[in-house]
Amino acid sequence: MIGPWLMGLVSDWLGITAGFSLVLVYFIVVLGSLLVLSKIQGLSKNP
Amino acid sequence: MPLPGIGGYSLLHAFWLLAAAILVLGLGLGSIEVGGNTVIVDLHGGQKGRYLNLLSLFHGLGSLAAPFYAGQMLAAGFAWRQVYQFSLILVVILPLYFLFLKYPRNDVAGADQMNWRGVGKTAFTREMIWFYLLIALYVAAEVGLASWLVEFLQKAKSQSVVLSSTFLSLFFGGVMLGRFWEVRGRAYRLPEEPAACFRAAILCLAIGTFGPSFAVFFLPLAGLFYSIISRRQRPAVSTCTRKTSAQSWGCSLPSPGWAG
Repeated sequence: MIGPWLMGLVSDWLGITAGFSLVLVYFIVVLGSLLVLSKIQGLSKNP
Repeated sequence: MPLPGIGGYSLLHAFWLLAAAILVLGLGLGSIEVGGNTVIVDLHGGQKGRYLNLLSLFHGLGSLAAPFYAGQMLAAGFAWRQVYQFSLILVVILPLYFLFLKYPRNDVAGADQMNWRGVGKTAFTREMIWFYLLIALYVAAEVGLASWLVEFLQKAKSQSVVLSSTFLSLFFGGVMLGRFWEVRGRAYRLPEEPAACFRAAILCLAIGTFGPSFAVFFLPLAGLFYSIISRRQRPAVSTCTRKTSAQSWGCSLPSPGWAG
């Protein structure tokens, strides 16, 4: 719902390349949460 | 639900009716996804990672075929409504399949009752909240890319309808290949390796998006690296929430819903 909608909104305002590059932002946040999860799970595995 | 959803979407004209048809379709597909994940966890507790990834593999196979089919139909001069109408043939087969499917019995006493206290304890831990964020943004990226890649390639890279939809198929081909490889994996936790793959996916996506026109070949490669997380997140969610897996699946799946 929010992902493609926000991309459409940004595409209307700033152009298709800017809208599409939001995927990169999503990717970076996923990578960040992945690293946090790795840390949490590493801690729970070896307290 | 997929039948009235796709049927309505291919026949109706008013915007709000189209939105309602898509809502019905989404509810139906969401139910199938939750059901499929839960059945696999019930049936293959010991090897759930492998079978959940196999489920993702077939999801990738469908995602690979659909843009290719739609691109060819549009290039042949069919209207977008007809693209949906022809797919109704497959949608009719789906409920027939479910009618004759033998659903496994759950022998655990009281398993059908919603255990709100158990869900509250397992579904809203710090770890699960990070999972929801990860899954939500992961799906937002996947659905956003699927929705806008064709438009982006046509407008920013001057590609034709057939070529741009072929690139979308190639992206999902990369996703499918990554998941096929992952079916062989059996780890349930999130080690460093997916983070390295995701860095490669980010690099490929950046080059494909901002690089010259020939660099768009990096976009399907991004799909290959991007699929790595999927093998870990699903089994990991069911591992974190083993005691109330069905309910927790139900709690975890709305996060990709609102994001995607």
